[in-house]
Order: sequence, then structure tokens, then C-alpha cells
Amino acid sequence: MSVLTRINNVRKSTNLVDIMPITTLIVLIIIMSIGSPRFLLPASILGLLAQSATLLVMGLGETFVILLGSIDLSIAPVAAMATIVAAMLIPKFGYLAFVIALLFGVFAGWLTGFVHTRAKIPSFIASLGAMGLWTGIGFVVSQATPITVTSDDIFLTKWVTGTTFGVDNVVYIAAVVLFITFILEKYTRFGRYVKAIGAGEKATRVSGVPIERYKTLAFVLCGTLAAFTGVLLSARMAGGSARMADGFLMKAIAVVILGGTAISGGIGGVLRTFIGVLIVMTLDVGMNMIGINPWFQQAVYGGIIILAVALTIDRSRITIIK
Amino acid sequence: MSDYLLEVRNVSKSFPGVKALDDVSLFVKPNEIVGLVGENGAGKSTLLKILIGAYHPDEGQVLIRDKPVEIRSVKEAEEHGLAMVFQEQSLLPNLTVRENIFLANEEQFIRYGVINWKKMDQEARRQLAKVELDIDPASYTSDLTFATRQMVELARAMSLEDRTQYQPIVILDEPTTVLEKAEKELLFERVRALKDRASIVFVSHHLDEILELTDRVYVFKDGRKVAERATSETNVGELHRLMVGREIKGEYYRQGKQIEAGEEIVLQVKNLNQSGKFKDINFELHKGEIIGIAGVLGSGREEVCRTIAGVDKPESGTIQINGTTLHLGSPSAAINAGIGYVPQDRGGEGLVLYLSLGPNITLPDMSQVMRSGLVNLKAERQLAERWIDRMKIKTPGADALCLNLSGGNQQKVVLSKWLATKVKVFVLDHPTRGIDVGAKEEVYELIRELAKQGIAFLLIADTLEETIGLSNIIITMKDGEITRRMESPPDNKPSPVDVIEGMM
Repeated sequence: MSVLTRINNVRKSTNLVDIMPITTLIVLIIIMSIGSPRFLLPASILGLLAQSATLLVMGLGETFVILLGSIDLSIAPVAAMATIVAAMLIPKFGYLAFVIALLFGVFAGWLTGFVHTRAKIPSFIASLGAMGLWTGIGFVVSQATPITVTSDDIFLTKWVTGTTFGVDNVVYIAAVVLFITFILEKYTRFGRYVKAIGAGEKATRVSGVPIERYKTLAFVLCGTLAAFTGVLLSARMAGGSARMADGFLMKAIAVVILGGTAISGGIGGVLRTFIGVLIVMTLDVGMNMIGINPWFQQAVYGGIIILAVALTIDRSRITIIK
Repeated sequence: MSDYLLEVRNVSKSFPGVKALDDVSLFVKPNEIVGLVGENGAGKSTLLKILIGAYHPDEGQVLIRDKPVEIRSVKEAEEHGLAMVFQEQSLLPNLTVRENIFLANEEQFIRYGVINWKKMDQEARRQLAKVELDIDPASYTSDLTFATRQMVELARAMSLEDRTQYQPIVILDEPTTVLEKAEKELLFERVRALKDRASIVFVSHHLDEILELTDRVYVFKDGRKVAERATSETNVGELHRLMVGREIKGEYYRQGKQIEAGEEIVLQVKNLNQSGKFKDINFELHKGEIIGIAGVLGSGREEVCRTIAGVDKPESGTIQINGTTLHLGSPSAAINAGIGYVPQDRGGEGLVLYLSLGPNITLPDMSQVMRSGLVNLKAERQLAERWIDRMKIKTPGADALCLNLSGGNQQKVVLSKWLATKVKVFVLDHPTRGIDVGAKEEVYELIRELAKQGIAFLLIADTLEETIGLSNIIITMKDGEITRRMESPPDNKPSPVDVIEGMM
């Protein structure tokens, strides 16, 4: 029996896509709480959630693009650009700087979506190009030097770095973004059309849905949330830099895939991405605990993405894999 | 040792909701040309797919030279000496003729990992000579005409005789559909010449071609082999009767419920043009009227339907719905004007298979379930349940993915989604393709009922009988043009021969 048939058999025996993420999470949590009894204390959990807020926000945006069956590889540089925009403009514009950084994300997402849908270029290439573009511009604009928010302006970052009722504000912010994206996904035309396009683009088109518009909108949402991730990062780090979101791309895709959103589109959603984030954060803590070199963790996530896709991809839908 | 080269024994194959092949047996002798005839959905394609390894039979056996074989791929079929010339050609256009002929079989030309092109050229010329084709093996396939490419495919199939040392069995699947008359004659001449060194299975629904070319013929109907005849002892009339099978009962197509079309023009098509597809298409469709378009592959009838549905955009012409000019090339404009389109590709264009019933039904018009800007999932579910009830859709539940429904029930979901949009004109492209007889009758019944309510239909039916049986008016198309328009009243239906004349 070939590896492929074996994997397919495992897939068929249960509805793995549905139960695997949550099972994985529970198993990980059990292992962790045995290894470190303090892991399940409310304080540790809240700490974890605060740490994972930025990743969650970015992953939520990427979820919609992956639901389309597309991909956006430009999210990390877009976030980095947003940190630079915010950090540079804070002295002049105050809070407005964050809004401008968000608007930059709207534009960056629209640009990728526009190139992808209007020039009919695969999203992989369109966003790869955008990744190069924003990385380059980010280094030039910041002169490859970190920009810091001075102590005069640091109060402007308190809405992110402060705490309310003992919980980091960033946790509330991420929860609000999760709630809004959940509503978007489940209760709006946008969410429905994105899923329909991912599951069957031709039939969706024949049903009169303006495909290009909704695809572009998904990229806009993704770019905006990537920039919002940048805004959160710039506030937490009190600055901006072209390298501030390094490593985010791999993890943001990992949380979507590990949560069980199908890379082929149509199946999944933001709640799954939330589960995916919890898995990744638990893994992070675990890897630190057993002393895996932080630089090597990227390699682990690379492997995990491939494994998760191997177990969850529905091969009956895809006959030729490119 | 029997004298059969290929034998199919009691083969059955089912798909959800349809028995595509039911206990079919047949054989092919060496140096024999065997014909397979049957309507769409009779099971010919399923049998061919089993022979080339695309499907695996549920029951029964395939024997080649008396040995039971399990064919799992085209490559394995070829190893047994069995090759197919596909209806839609399978040559790769970006490769040369020689590369296509020996695709996946280049070993014989490889020395030290490098291909000896000269040797491949020589060998390719030898294969091309078998079909008397004198072209440069280094020419690109995309530069050849359709008919020449078909000859190259035939040469590729004949190359099996050198590779396998067996007499090849060559399957020709509807090879004449897009050929000109002279090209067709040439093909037949070559096929006859090959008879000395190969067996041929010839699939066609042109009965005259079958009679002209074959030695023996098998007739398929509804997944079963209904007859076997020596070609010299049969005729078009008998084959046709066997193929259609049923006495065309007066009421199969619910002709008794056919109504007079209304006065009001619902759809008016004026001077519609699309170069290479159709030209100067003009017709009008009245309230409650059913117009059937008859035509062979390449007649342009599918393209006309797609254009009216807004899926394709024509170069010129106008379409009016109830007197209002339609914005062309936009499915949403067509839907807003009241056009519903049931496409031929049900799983691809008709439904989002990986969504459940409710989202599929509401996809063209979500406003039915929007409450203060948000989707009301409960209302959507209730809507789905109402349609399940009304259309008698057999499904495990409203939450089931459409993927898990049978063809007939999937088609009911497609019809439901358009009926939910308050459709005025239905464009039906093969609405009964691949669904079983019972479901077909339900579809006919529904069409009649909807026509009575005033919905107008533009229909491309699965068979000629269906076209004649259902339509008020029959339009025939040939090479992109409308050739005839004939009345088809319930008490005086035109004969198939009359309609075919307009198609040929």
C-alpha cells in the first residue's frame, strides 16, 4: 500500500478535517499540563492569549483568502510596513497614524487582489510579487533602521499595551476581531460567497455572483488585518521596523491550515483558525520548554504545515496537483 | 482458446442513483470492426472508460486474449494492446507529432539518457505510414487540422502493434462528430485498411456510419446491451427502434399536458453573433412556450444557450426580456431579468457540490434570507426544507452536501434554486443527462407544470425524441446557424427524420 493510499484511508475512516484540530489541541494541552502543572493556571493562559493575539489577527485575515482557494504571501511585509508607517507618523499625527497604517493595509490588499483578479495572475504569484514590493519599500522607507516611538508619545500605545480588569487589552482587541470576522464569515453575503467561490467557482459565477469583486474584497480584508497586526506590533514594541513581522507568514498559514481550513478552498473558517492559533501557541511553549532552538521552530512549522495538508487535503477533488 | 480478442463478461457499474451498466457482455474477434450504438446515457461511455481503466467494474470481467485482466490505467490498457482514440482529442498541442506518438514510451530511443531524435523520426514515419499520413514528425501538433490530428492519434494507437507484439484493439469514440464529409470518408478508408492488422471498436450514434463501416453491431439502451446484429442483416430503422427501445408512448413526455403558448413574447433574441460559434440567431419565445433546439456537437446550440444565460458574451446582437434589453455577458443581469440556467455540467456549473442544499438554493438571490443585513440561517434552512418538500428531493437532510445526492436529486436542487428566484425563462441544457428514467419523468412533469404557470423554456434535450416530445417549437441548428423552425403540436409531432434533415 502506497503512502498516499494509506493517508487517504486514514482520512476516510473519520472526518479528520473536523475533529483533528480540536483533538490535537486537547492532546497537546494534556501533555503540557502534565509536563508543567502551571500551564493551566488562568494567568498562564491569559499570557498565552496575549502573546498569540497578533498571530490570531493575521491568521483571521488569511483565513478568508485560503477559503477562496487562493493564498496571500505578502502579509508579513504588509504588517512590517504598517509598523513603519505607524511609528513614523505617530509624532505628527498621534492616533491617526494607526488609522493611516490600516488604510495602507486596505490599499496593499486591494492591490494584490486587483492584480490577481483583473490581470488574472495566480494569487501565489501576485502576492509573492507584493511580498517583494513591500519588503523592499519597507527597508527603503525605514532606511533599514528600527524606528522607535519616543517616551513622549508612548502613551499613544496604551490602548494596546495596557490592561483592563487585569487582562491585557490586546486580548480584548483580538477577541473583537475574532467576533467580527466570525459574523462576516457566517452571516454576510461576503462570507457566503467566499466559501462558495472556494468550493465551486464556476457554479458560483453562473449563479450571478460577481466573483472578482468578492475575491478582491477578501484580499482587502486580509491586507487590512495584516496591517492591523502591524499596528498591534508597533504599539507593543513601541516602534517599527522592516523586520518586525519576520516569521509571521509561516505561522499565519500554519494556524489556518492546522485549524482545518482546506488549502483547496471552501471548507473551514475563523473559529478553526482560532483553534489553530491555540495549537501553535501551545507548541511554541512546549518547544521552548524542551529547549528547541527558537530559530529551528520555523523548520518545525514548515514540517507541520505539510503534514497537516497531507492529512486533510481532499484528493478526490484535485486530480492534478500543481 | 476462443477466437475472441476482447471479451466483456457480465459487467455492471453503478453510480449514485444510476445503474450505468447492467450485466453487459460482448466480444470482439480479431480483424473485426464492431459498432456500439446507443443514446446518451445508454452506457457506451461507461463501458469504454472501464476498458481504458478509468472506471473499475462493480461486477463482471474483462478478458483480453482469453486472460482475465484488471485494467487500472490507459498505460495498462495499452500494455494489453488496447488503445482509444478519444472524442475530445488527447494529443498534447505543445509537443511534436513524434513526441506525441511515443509519449511515455520513449525508452527505445534513449541511449545514455538522451533521446535519439533521428531514430524517433524514422519510427514515427513508419507509424504514420500505417494510416498513410505523410507529414513531418517534427511538426507541432497544434499546427495540424483536427482531422490530421485524429489520424496521428490513430497512428499512435497502431504503434501498439510494435510495442506489444499483439494485434491492437483500437477504440474510436465518436470520431466523426466534427469531421467534414471528405475527412470522414478518408477516415473510414484508413480504418478499413487497418482491419488486416487490428480490431476496431467504433462508437457512434450515426447509424448510417455504423452500417457503412462495421461487421457487427451492439445496441445499448439504459445501461443494458439490448441487441447484437450482423451489420449485413440490419438497417437504420431496426437499429433506431432498438436504440430508442420504448414504444414512444404517447404520454412519456407528458404531451397531453402540452399547452398552447401565450401571446406575450417573453424572450426575444435578435441578430446574435459570435464568430466561430453562431451567427444571426433570431427567435422569440412566448409565455409558457417550450422551444427545443436540435443540432449536433458544434452546431452552436450550447453556445447560444450560454449566451442567453449571460455566461458567455456575444460579439453583437440583442436579447430582450419582456421588452427590456438585457445587459449581455453578465450572469447576474440575466438572473435579475428572470432567466434561470440549468447547465450541462451539473457538478461544475449547476451546483456548488461542497455546499449544502440551502446555500445552493439561495446563492443566486440571497435577499430571500437576508434580515437586516445579515444572513438568517434559520430562514435559509426552512427555505431549503420547503424546496425539499415541494420538489420531493431525496436527501439525508437539508444540511447534507449536494455532493452526496444522486444526479436526479441534484438536478432538482438546481431547478429549485432558479424557481426560488422567480424565474420567467428557463434555459435548460441537457436537464435529464445522467439521471435515471424515473427522475426524468419527474423533470418532464415539472416542466409541463411550470409551462402552465407561464414560464417559458429554451431546451437542449438529451435525445432527439426528448426534443420532439417536449417542445412546442423545434429549431434546428447547423454550423452555428438556424436552419429550420417547425411546429411540434401534441397531436402532430414531427418525425425524427424531419428534424435530422435540419441538423445535417
